[in-house]
Amino acid sequence: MKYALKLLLYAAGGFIVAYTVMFTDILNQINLDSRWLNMTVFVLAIITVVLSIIGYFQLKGTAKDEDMDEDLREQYKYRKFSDLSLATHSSIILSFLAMGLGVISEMPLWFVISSLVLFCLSFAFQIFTSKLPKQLYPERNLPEISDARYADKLLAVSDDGERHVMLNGLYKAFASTSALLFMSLVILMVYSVATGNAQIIGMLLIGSILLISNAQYVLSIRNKG
Amino acid sequence: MRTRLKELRARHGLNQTELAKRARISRQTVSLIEREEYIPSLLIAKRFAKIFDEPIEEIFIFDEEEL
Repeated sequence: MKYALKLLLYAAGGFIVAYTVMFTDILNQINLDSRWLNMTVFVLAIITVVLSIIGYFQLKGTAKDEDMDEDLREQYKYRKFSDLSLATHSSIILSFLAMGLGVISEMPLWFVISSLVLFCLSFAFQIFTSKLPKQLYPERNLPEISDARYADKLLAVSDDGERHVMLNGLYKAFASTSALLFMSLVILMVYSVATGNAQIIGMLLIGSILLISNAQYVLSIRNKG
Repeated sequence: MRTRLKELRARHGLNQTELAKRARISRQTVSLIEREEYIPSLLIAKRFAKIFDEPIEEIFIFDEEEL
């Protein structure tokens, strides 16, 4: 019930956002040039790639620092690794978005090539980052990221407290992803009706993702009762 | 539930990482239990009881209405 209400709230939010943007002509009033949008995404991609590179080498250095207090070092490693994961994930998405926007809006070639380089760098640092936990925690029997049963094995080597933290985080992410996708569906629907520019592929994709992810979640818990 | 884990750990001169190693859990779990954000399993509680040589109910204190 609470979940359904939240979805309705997000749908209403999506409708209001889409309606305001479409019918008050905000985009034209602020004279939004797609080049500015592309450049903003591009700059954000550069920032997150730089943060990923700095974070990666900082974390590698900390693993060898024996002078730091043991608890503080463990806490620092944990937080720094979380920050690094966030930076690498964001950099992949932003650089890919910059590349896509660059191609679609016919930006200069240097822009598209630079975005591609950023994407390759992000991808490389995502791989380096995924290999870091084995170096940071050599005493733990952590699975290889390439392992087909990585998620199962990671859960198996995690203790109760770690699983509790993961469950909370994943559930919050799942709930907000579902709600935000639903909101996006409403925005695309209002946009399609208002502009006559039908976003059918986008709507079908979002609808399919919502159906699959919700079915996957419910089917994975229903047989555990 | 309240816990005296932090106090007992300090009394025994252990940091979180050392206690975690002795209890065969992660430092993150020790930290969560100390902050009273997570109630440990009976097995983990029993390990703490053995490390500090205290009964479980002296380490983890429940209010009457919780029981």
